Amino acid sequence: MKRKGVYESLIGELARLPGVGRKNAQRLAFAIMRLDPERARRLGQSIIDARASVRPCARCNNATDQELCEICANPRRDTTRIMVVEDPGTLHQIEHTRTYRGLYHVLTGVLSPLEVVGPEAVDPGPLKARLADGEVREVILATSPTVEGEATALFVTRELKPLGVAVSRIAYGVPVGMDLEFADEVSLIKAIEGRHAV
Amino acid sequence: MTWIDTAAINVGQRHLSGADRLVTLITPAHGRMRAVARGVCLPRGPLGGALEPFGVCRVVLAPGRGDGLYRVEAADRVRDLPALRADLPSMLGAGLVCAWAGALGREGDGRVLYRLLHHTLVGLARPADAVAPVVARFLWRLTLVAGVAPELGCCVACRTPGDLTGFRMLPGGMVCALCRADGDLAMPPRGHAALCAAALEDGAWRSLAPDSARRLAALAQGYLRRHFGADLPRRAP
Repeated sequence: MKRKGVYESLIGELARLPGVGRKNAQRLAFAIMRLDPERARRLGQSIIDARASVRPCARCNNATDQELCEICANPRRDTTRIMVVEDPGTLHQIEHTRTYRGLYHVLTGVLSPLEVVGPEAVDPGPLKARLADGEVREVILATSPTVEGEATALFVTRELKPLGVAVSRIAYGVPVGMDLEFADEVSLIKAIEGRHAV
Repeated sequence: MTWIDTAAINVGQRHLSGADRLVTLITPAHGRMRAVARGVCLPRGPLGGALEPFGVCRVVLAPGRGDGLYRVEAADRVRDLPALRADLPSMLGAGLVCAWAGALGREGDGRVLYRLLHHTLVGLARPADAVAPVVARFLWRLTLVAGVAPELGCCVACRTPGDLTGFRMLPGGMVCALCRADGDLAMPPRGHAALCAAALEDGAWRSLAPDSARRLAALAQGYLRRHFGADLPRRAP
């Protein structure tokens, strides 16, 4: 009975993580139970260490265990561009593409009109402070094409426009590999609006 | 529960595990409905952007596992209101309106609420209409739909029509100078006229000044919270 309690507790904890449903949590719990004791200890220790040492980067809010994250500390990055993202997960997804060499700024929150969360959720001060020295020429808004992401992008644009910096928004529309015949109307409209000359 | 094919407006959504969302829909024939939209966040998901808020969609709902919970089987966009997503005040106003509709909507016949919500979202997408009066109009009309419309034509305490100088939250309505008590709000004749314009008169709400409309919207939200509980949306348009 005690064994079942520990196993259920592990599943419960895993299922509370974002993006992990009950079935996935069960699968992960099974995999963890099959680990040899040393690997299980290392996994547990990694979680404890990460939780204890990871903090927001002092400049861009990316997750790091140093004062500045790897990207902010890298002298070879293009310091004239800042890409604004909603969370460190998005940042890592963009980094994975290896097409963007500029800097980032991770927002500390997003507007959520449907949950009646307004501009008070986003503090634009740190981002504006980074633009003060005039080195940054472009801010790219890479928030999700959802109500929350679009509201946040509109708010950040409103805050940055008076500073005279160029503000752009990532393009969105139909995903690569999708047959246009199956695209939904909203995505198609966005794709047509965001068309570019070839 | 059977399969339902209906027009709907998405007024609320919450992330579930993975790429799934729990959506709250206002429909004409069934009122407020909750449904799980599987894979809605995936780039090539079956529902795409059809279920995005601030527009009208047609959904096919299948009975789900939970009590009164459905599953979105198919969704198609019927009317999109892109202007709502291009202007921050309009978007925040639309969010507030949807949040209140979701909070006070009930299962059953939802035609009146659906029509009110639809007209309000279209109004918010219209550049000629300022946001605050449209939201104020919606919220006072919502008191009517929710069955708690205030008495504006006579004193709610003694039923006399003259010298109305205050507003009482419960049971709801104007009060005369003689009946006015400590907890009642002061309501000068101009405020009373604005309130009547927002709540009663067709088209008169368009002439409300934005500041006046904002005050009326705040009053309406306080009024609704007083009648239905404190755990309800809170924001000035």
